[in-house]
Amino acid sequence: MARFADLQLDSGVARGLKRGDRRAQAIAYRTLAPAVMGMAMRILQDKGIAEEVVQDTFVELIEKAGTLKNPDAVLGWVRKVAVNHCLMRLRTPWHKRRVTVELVEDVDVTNGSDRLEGLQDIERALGSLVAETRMVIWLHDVEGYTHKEIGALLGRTASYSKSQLARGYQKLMLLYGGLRDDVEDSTIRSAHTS
Amino acid sequence: MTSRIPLSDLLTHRDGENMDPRLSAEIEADPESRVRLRALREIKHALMELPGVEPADDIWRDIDGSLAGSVNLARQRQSKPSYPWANVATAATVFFAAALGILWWNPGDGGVAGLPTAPLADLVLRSQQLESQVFYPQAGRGAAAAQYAWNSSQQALLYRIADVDSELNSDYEDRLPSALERERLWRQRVQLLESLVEVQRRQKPASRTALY
Repeated sequence: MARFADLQLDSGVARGLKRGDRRAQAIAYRTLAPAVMGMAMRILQDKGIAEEVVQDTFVELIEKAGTLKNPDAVLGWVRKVAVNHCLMRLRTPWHKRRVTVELVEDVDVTNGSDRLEGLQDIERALGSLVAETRMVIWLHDVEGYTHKEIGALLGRTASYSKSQLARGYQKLMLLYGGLRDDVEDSTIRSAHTS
Repeated sequence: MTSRIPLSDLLTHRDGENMDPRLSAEIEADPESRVRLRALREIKHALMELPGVEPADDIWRDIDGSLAGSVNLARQRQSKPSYPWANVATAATVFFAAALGILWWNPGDGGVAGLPTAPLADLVLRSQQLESQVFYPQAGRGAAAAQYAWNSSQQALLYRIADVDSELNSDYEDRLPSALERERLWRQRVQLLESLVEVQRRQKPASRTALY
């Protein structure tokens, strides 16, 4: 899973991070890096830049872990730092003017071809959205941010976040496999007749 | 005839952000809204199911190696090309493809229908060749781009090239620039790349620190 909410970091590891213990740093990296990378890949749609986000996030974690007041808050702290690094990159003129996106590759999915197809569909659909909309959808739906939090993060309002979510879903509904209008229509027709 | 429930209302209902009983009843009474709501839930579920992604092995090695060698990590990281330039070759390739596509597609401004005008095509190709020299000095385009610690003059040139690209690109988004304007920008791009090649040529090999 790519969600931070599904992860757990042993409190001993968190305390080790605070002490600067290298083994704890390696464990924290192994545990958290796939989530950071997953989020950055989905938001930024670029493997190289997503890896930069991973590197910057963990460098910051290692350098600043000693100042953490509450070691149990490491997970939330890492997520916040990673989100900020993603946002920073989205705001660069370089990223803004990118004309194409590189779709996610090397995603490790092991549960059968049907699931793989479904996940690839949603990856592709997500990748087709505007970067900021992708970010709103990911933070809201996957990471559980509120619209107020997202609005604040983007320097906008909660309403803006809501409208981005709706706009993104409008497109996702059309793109995501099995959810196209014709499928909807036939389902609606069958619902009417039953 | 019933009015369609807005998607934003269905989303707030899906996420439990608006438990207005009237909205719930409206959705319940409308088969289409029920189908749309189910689709919204399925998409959210699919997004939440997406797996984590393993970063490349060398990311941790970079961090760990730097810490083990007591190298000042921040300082070492500063010596890396800032991220736009690490990706410049890739982006430029994409950019060329887009640019050539647009040139090909646009028959106006004195060009022959279906073909780029000769001076422009020459400039684009020259620009591409120079870019290969800068980013792929040892091998062909198939090889990984070389990554150097750019000096300040090189960085300044790279930023100016990015500005030109930006100008070309923003023009493409809003309107197609005139042939004259396109030619001016591409000429400028070629000149900047020539300067970059020249600076790179003069640079002693030892000072071109390969980072990978």
